[in-house]
Amino acid sequence: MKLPKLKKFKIPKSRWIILFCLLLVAIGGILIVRNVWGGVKQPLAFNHKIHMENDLKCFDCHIYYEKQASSGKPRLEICAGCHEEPVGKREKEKIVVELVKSGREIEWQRLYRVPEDVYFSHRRHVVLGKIECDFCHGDIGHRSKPPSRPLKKMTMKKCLSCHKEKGTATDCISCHR
Amino acid sequence: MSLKRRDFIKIISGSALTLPLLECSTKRYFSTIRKNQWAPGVEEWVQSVCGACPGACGILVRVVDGKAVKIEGNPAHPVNKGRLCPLGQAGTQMLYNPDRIKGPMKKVGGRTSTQWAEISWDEALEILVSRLNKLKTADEAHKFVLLTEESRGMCHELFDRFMNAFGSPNHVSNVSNASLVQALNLTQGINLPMAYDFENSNYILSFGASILTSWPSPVQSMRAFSYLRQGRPGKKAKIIQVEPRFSITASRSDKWVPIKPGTEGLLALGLAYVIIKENLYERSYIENFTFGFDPWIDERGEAHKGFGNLILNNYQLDFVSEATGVSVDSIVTLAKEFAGNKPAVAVADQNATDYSNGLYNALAIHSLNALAGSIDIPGGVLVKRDVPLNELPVLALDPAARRSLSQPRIDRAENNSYPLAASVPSLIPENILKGKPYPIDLLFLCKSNPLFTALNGEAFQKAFEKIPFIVSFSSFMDESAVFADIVLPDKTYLEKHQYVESSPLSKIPVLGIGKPAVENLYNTRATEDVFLDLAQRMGEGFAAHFPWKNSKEFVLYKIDNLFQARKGIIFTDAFEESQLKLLEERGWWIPQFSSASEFKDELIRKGGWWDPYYDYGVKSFVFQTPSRKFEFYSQIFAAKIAELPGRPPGNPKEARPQTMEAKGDDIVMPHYEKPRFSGDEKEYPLYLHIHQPLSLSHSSSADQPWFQEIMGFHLNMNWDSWAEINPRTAEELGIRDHDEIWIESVHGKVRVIAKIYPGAMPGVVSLPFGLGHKALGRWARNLGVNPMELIGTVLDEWTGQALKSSARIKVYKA
Repeated sequence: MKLPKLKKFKIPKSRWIILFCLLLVAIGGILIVRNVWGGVKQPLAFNHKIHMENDLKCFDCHIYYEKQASSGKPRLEICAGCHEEPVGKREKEKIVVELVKSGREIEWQRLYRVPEDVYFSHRRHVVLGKIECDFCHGDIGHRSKPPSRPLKKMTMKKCLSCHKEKGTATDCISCHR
Repeated sequence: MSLKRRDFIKIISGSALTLPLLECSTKRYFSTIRKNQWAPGVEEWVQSVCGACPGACGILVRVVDGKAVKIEGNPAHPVNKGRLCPLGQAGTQMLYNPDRIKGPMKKVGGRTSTQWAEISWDEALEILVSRLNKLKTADEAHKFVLLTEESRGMCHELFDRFMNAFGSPNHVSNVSNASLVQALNLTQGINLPMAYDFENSNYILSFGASILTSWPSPVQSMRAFSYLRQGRPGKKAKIIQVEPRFSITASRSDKWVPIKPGTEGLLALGLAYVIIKENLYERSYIENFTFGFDPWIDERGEAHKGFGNLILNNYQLDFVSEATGVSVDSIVTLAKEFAGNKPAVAVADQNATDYSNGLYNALAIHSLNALAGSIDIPGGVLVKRDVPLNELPVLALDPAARRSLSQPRIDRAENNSYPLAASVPSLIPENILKGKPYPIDLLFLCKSNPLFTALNGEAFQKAFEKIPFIVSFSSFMDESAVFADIVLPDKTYLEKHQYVESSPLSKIPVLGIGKPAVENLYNTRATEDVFLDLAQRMGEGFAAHFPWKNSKEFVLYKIDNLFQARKGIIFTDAFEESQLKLLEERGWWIPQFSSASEFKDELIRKGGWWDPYYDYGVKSFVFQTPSRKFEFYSQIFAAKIAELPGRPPGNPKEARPQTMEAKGDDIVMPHYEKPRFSGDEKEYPLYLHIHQPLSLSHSSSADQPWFQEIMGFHLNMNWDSWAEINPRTAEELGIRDHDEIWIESVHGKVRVIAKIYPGAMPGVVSLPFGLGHKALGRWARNLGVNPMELIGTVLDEWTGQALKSSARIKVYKA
């Protein structure tokens, strides 16, 4: 059987066209990497470690996790509780003092997320289940810079293994609502 | 082609330079979750009441940073106990529906125009006040008509007061299933739907009742079903569904009995035949608590044959079996099971009463409950107790209001055509078009959309064209609102204050208190508030009838005397609830609060009040007939007939619609009338059966994508209407699965997709009701068909109920 003749595909001669195409591909690739897997960027390089060293506990700033499903994001007034005037000598603290004076909320971004159809209650896990924060959040309390990705990956497998171990509900509708 | 090192470096450095330029715009395209204004994520759960159906379940609304994000069932609410159906779950989708009307609007360019202009609330209300005052000063208050959907509850009470104070007799509300209500009225003297106690039943015999779908309180019945199936210790109950279609309820039952449409009552009489013939009935119950079973002689010396003889003489099993299509074996088995598994209850809904013989079907089915002694016992048919709400102050009417109130109503039937009907809303368009008894000047529409829901939608449209001014209070631009001159959008139930009594089908009194879970999303106002505002604007004398500034004050007034009722409890946990029940059974009650204000605050916070105790055995309450018994021979019915003009008193023999076959005593007793259908049997050989999926049972639910997705999940049908056809019938007609077909009746034809379904009875084609909107919103408009177009305006000759199962059809390929 005779195969049809394939037309020869001509590669454009101009090097600039090739360069331009490659440039587009590279930009696209980098954009995708930056935006999809790029992680979370906090508005301020918050230092968990230094706060923990000064005897603050998680609950002092994340005030909702014992009361409600979401642990909430700290409001400026919580920062203002200490930083209305500088409490230390570090240069970086001045940024916070300035922000507190300006009265503009620091737009903290959420780092840990569960899928949209999953109902996760901090209160149930922390108060009723008596699970420590670092069980899911890793050693974030000892980080001097905000991580851009969750320190521990939360998968359904992990949820289920713990639920099974503790004998709590494993039916779909308990979490997927 | 080769790429040199220098080129590679150029590409990389080029992209690195370009990136910062693109940085600001990329997030918009790549971010999967749109970031709104930053918020700290503060959460609140608000106890309220679901308004998606009359069941009035308790809900907990999860509000994060002032936005309602999720609705769950309230575990302390006795109706749903933490559960919720899809209608309730989708409340947020209704709240945030982009098709909601966002503020008051006025039509520009005449009735037929579709142009609207925004106006302010003040301007809109002033227009209404001037219209109302003009009618009032001309002594024509009766020319003002208010159409509402609900015939009870807060809106109804407030609107009724408004109309009475104004002097209009024309507050017309939708009468849901008049035949069933009449069945209880004629046999027990109570003008209410029957209440059931499924959780304690051992045998549920349902005649087409859509218990798990469009039932007035679906979550309660779903809970009862699951309890009977799995939760109840000891004996599991048996559930039988008698229906032409294998519905969701049938699929969850132990047995589905397909039956020829309109013969449900005959099957009940066939069961009665077996029960009586074999002495399986409760003799002591019949003797003590029923009237008209045995032969008897009345005061005038006239002999009556009694229900027992009526059944034994007329309903031999061969005849019943042939007419219903149910085998003799099945009838005998059903009868024996029904009589032998007490408490057994026979249930019906409009699926069994939407025929020309609907009233008698309902009577026949309810008479089974009397034979089994299942009235006023746990697991039987009960009568709902009322919530002891505060009565409104007595209305001191002025002479002009009294004068116009004595005018005949616009929904009246002439010449007593519908003797058992207090109101026949289907007659309104005809009366308006004739200008009888008087022309109408002003119409208010509250949650009422007759242009879509009524059998005579077209006639309503013509009548609307004749009314000079129409005001709609709809949240959505539905078919009827399109015809309005002014639209004053109502808030949704998640934004308003209200009190809601649970469905009358529930045996115990339950009061839900609704409060706003979120702040007003748009420039809308609760219709109750609008009426109160109107009252204030209409002058001092009128305003004096309404001493409440807003709907919240009205709610507080209504719940004012619950504290002194000395019964019931604010929603609480199961332990306190059973403790209270024990106390109340022994005649005790201990107050939980020291002051009325403390009680009210807690009542509003917890979302409601109820009384778990049902006092069985108060026969004077359950039987309010002349004989103070269950009446197989309805004396109320006989008296009603005797009142009809031109009838000899006490002689119902001639007082019957011309089309009726029965004579003499039979007319006022449960018996079988052959159902009549429009269309010749030869030309239109099939029956049309209409069902309402749960997801389409709310007026605006067709405009919610979630409901469109799930409405036909048993057949994987969604986003369109479908006709369920039996495989054999389809084969005879040469129709294949998913073919486009025409369904034609004498009144019209519609084009739908055919779905071959073994759950459809041969000879019966089923269509869902709820689609085929010409307006409403982007997800509902021009989608599917409205089966009402296939049905003419056929009304029950006694109750005036619009009969949705009265058409014969033919089906052919499109």
